[in-house]
Amino acid sequence: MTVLIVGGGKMGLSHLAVASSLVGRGNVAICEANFGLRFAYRHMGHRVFPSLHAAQDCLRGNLSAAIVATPTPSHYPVAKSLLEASVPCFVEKPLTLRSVHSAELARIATTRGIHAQVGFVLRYVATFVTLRKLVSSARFGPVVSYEARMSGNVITGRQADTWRSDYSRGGGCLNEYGPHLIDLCRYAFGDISVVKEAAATQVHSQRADDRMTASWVHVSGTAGRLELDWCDTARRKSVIEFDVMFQHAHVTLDNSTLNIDHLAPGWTGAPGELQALQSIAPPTVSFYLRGEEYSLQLEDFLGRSLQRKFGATPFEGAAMPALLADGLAVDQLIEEIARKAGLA
Amino acid sequence: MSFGPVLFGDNQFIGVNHSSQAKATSHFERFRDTDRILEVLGWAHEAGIRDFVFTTHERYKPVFQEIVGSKMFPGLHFTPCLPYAHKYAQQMAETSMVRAVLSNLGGVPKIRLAGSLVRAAAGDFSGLMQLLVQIEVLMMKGLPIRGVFLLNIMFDLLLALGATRLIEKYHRFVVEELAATPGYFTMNHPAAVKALCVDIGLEQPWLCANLNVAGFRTNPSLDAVRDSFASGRTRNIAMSVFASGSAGTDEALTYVVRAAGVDCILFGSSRRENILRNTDAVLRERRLRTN
Repeated sequence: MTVLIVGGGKMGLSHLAVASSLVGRGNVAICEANFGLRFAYRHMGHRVFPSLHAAQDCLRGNLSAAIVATPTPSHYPVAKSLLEASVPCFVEKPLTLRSVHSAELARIATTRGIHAQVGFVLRYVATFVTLRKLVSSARFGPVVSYEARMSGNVITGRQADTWRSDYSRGGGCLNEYGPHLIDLCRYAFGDISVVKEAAATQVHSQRADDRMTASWVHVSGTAGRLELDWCDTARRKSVIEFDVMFQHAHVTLDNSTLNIDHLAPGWTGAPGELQALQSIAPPTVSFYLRGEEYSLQLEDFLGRSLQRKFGATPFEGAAMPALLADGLAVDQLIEEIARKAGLA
Repeated sequence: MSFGPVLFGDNQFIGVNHSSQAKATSHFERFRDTDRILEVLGWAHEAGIRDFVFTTHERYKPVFQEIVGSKMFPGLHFTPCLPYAHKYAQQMAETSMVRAVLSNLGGVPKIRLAGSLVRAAAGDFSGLMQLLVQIEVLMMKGLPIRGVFLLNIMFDLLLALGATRLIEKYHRFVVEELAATPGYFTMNHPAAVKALCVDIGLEQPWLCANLNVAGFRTNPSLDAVRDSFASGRTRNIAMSVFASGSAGTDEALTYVVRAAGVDCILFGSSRRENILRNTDAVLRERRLRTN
């Protein structure tokens, strides 16, 4: 049994560590094109391969699952090769840079009946799971409208001419933050039927957006507004905030807290219900590296792929992994937003 | 070298709050001002705390220069915790992982850097790690350093990668070259005890981990972490004792102070009354336990 990590950069390293803690270091291999990184991983005792081709040749039937953490432009060929070999796949977000490619990957996974997941890790954050529950249960009535915002300080000065500052190569705020927040909006409020408008702002980047706003309407009729900002120096790290108007309550939440206020007159709940809804604690995990959500995400993916149970405590979010169809839907929305904002 | 019963942490100064992003952002802005950090450190000193445990964030440079220059806070010891991951993550966002590490070694004498690179080429990365540690510790020049701790983002990563040789070399380097106490933050206390005490064979290393009545971030479970603290194999600093504000203060403190295997308690606060009250409560509980 081997779990293969494709790509040994920052995300690959993180996945390598969590996967090793779950299935044992001897059962994880890493594929990295850069000699220096490959050398470092080898000297830390990991099995390494210089290319996906070499890994597939060597591992053959022993390849049980793969995690694709390469730069976004190579997601499509790497994931396609793995899916065509019927290997369960986890692909970092965004799924691909072109929705036609994402559609093809989703089709292969469905046709072959392979479990394949996209790295929308925020589905495993307890507050967002609670938001989804509040929406689907209609405990406070239907959602009238909401605002979703993701801000952080990824970019703090003028950008060199790299892929990061070029929308067409996967750079910019929409490509970096967009997949997370767009997926969360779909996860919590359902499919989006139409993007009404979108606007991009450039602050530091020459060929990409540093800020983006968009508004849309969900199939349910709920109106949503999106704000992305990856050059907010007031933030130490990226933060997601929702402001949701239900028919009978106003709910605000972020990565760690959820507040319910302005309850409509006459709304009655069970004693302690509101306090219980607002007392959200992250679940414990079998191994914590950089946030419960990263561990839960891999416990979920590897559990499904290897038919094993991982995890210290059951977590509700595990019932709703992001599949390739979700990755496709997000990629289509990114293309639509970019088109409306004049990026593409 | 042992730590005092209460250690003052720095989450508030760098905008870390596990229960409120809004509070985190507000603190991050508020403590851009050096004087405000010095003021809060003064309250901790007034409360009788003699250990400041902090990450090597850039904003402390003027704070430490002021403390050294003005000879403030006599008896206060300093324990840097490294690496400040956001600094490296930021650099990695703008360049590659290898370049991010090398760019921080720019000020190192070329002969030392060359030696470390040669060792790295032979698969021994401890030289590069030692250089990075030394560079980070330079910020504390002139201050009494009690410990040098690895933050959980690095230690737990090395733990998961099975890099026990690197941890062992770090441990020896801090003891022999920096004459300080090595320590490790971890979110996986039982796994850390196994790696440090069984795999490496260290005698009672210092660990700093979450322990709180609510079971907040006590992985893999509160019972397992409580038992691991009580095993007697490590010296333990309990943190997140108030479960990031989600547990009643008195109950939370009593639970942790009375738990077996807790040598010290680490907490941070930006409010004078909380610092004085919590420190007093820990010391009072300690006296009761001793008597």
